[in-house]
Amino acid sequence: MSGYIAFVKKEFTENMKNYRFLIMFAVFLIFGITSAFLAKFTPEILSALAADMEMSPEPVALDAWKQFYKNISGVGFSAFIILYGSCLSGEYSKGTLVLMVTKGLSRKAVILAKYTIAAILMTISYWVSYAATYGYTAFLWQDASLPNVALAALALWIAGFLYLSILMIGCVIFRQTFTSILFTGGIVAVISLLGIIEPIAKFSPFILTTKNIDLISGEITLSDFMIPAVVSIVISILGLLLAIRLFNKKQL
Amino acid sequence: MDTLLRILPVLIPILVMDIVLAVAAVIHILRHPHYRFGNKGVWLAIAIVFLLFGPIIYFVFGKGEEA
Repeated sequence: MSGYIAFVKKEFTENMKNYRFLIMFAVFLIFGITSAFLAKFTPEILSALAADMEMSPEPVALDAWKQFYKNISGVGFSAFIILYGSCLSGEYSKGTLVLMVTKGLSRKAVILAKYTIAAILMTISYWVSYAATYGYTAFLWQDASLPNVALAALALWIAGFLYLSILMIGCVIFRQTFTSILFTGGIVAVISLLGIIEPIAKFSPFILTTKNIDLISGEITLSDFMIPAVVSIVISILGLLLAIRLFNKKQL
Repeated sequence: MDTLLRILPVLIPILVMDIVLAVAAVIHILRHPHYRFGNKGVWLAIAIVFLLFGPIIYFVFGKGEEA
């Protein structure tokens, strides 16, 4: 346990020093601010630039959330995966783990500490981004009130843990950053393909990343999110356990 | 111009963010002259010219491994 806490501290310092947290925070915050902002002003800017341009319909608060989910689930989490793809490969190539593990740090603690810090930093970035979009949406559309906004964000956040678990497995198996990222991308692609198949589409965690906006607009109900959320959490935990198991057998 | 003045206050946080990132990137580029590819001039240009995304691209792709 003390090994775990020490390693968490080490991971935290590392993420601060190598700018990983700064970059992830910046990416998420930029998307949080710009999604509401662009949804509101794009028609206006376009018509100011080209006076004879066809005006699109008046933007509504839902457009801001549409932008938010498109950006965060696409670029935001891609950046997260790319940044954390190197979390173990750097240690492999420099051999920094060998010393600590032979001195009695349990291998489980290594993976758990890395997962904890990545999850905490992702959570902070994500919810700050959410708060920025929320604040800007409330500011730009004073009279808008949308249901289930926080719950829709919660769904994508749960999916974030799933991505992180898959990434952890990738990082443990492969020694190179690029292959771990590719592995994660491949698995995510497989999950989204499984989401297309009709009988199991209802249970696929893929819903958590794509249907958020339908939850806000009221096209689907909260109960449709329950099973995918549970499936996602279960897979995340199993994935983390698998990563630990694989790491126990891994030659450092 | 009218539109620009009206949306300027909303843009200030993004500008602050951009300045912080650009300064961090420039300091890092000058202090660690080892890059995965490219050289000092190229990265300085990218970090300063491309608003917001230049510094991010530098930190994600251009930053060399710590020796």
